[in-house]
Amino acid sequence: MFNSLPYELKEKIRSEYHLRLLIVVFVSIICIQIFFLIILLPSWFISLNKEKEIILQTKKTDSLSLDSEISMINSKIKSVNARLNIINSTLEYPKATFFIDSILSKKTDNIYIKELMYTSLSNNTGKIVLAGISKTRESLVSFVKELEGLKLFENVDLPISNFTKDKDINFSINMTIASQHVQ
Amino acid sequence: MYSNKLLKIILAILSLLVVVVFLICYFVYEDIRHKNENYHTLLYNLSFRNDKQNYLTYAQKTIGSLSLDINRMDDSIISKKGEVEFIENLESVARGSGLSIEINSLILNNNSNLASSSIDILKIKAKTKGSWSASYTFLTRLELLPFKLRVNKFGLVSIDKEVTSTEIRMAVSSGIWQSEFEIDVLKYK
Repeated sequence: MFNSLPYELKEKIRSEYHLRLLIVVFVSIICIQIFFLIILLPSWFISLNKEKEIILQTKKTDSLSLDSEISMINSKIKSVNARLNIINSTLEYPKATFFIDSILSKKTDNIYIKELMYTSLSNNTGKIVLAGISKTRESLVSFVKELEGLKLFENVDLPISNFTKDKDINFSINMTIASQHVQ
Repeated sequence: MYSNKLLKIILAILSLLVVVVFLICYFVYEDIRHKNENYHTLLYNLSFRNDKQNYLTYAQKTIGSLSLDINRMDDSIISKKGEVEFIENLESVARGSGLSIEINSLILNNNSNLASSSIDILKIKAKTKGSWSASYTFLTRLELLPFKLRVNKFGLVSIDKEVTSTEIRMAVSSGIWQSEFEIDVLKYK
């Protein structure tokens, strides 16, 4: 083929062409980058505003006073709970009046009471000793049976020595409170 | 036609621009990422603080609504220097029931179970004299006192000399009854 241009000129044109091509590529890259930057900018503004807003909200609430108030209220709750636990767990006992009322409700006119002794043994047990005079053996036996029938006592103990006399019998009955009937 | 030198200068400037714009893009991207992370951390902290605030409000409301019960609970324990007041209260209950009362002892019992608490147990022993019904009313009122107490012992004895057949018919002695009782009551240290 016939070459009208000398070799050096052709090389120069080729090199200039490559340089121009590179410039076009670089300009395109810059355009893409600027486009990318423009796309990023709204996100940046949104993030900036969101951050500012949350910082403002955080500053509004005073964390230190909140924590101290919470620790104060927690210690108050703990102290109330501790006192409640003590109240619920200590000084529990079977209420004397409930058992004495039940005993007296079964007493007939033939039974005369001279002495009554209540002792609380633990949280749910206790002992009652009832002493007195019974007109007859029958009324005493019937009274003891009535007491047993109440089902409030684990045992109703009437010693046999109480039956030595047949009239105006001095008696003493020992009763142990059944734990399931504690009021 | 441009000279190659000029084109090379333009190319150098453009390549520098590419690097600069790339760095700007990178920093903007990193800044957005950092701002979002910060936002989420602060949001989490804020929501945690809101939870705390809600808990505080709820606890304050609950304590406020229970204040009457809490006061009642506190009043069920004898105050630090309230022994005398309690004894006077006990004496007035006895007199109100129609009994004469004599306090025999007043002991502060150092209970090992309550060693770490601010509460102790006050042990009171006393005697009363009066009718059966007065003694029994006293026991009932004693158990209904608004104090946390335990009746350890309550002994009721008729101190009549002779039992008449009329009294036997009445079933309880109409004479004088003597009671000896021992109670434990909670008291602030």
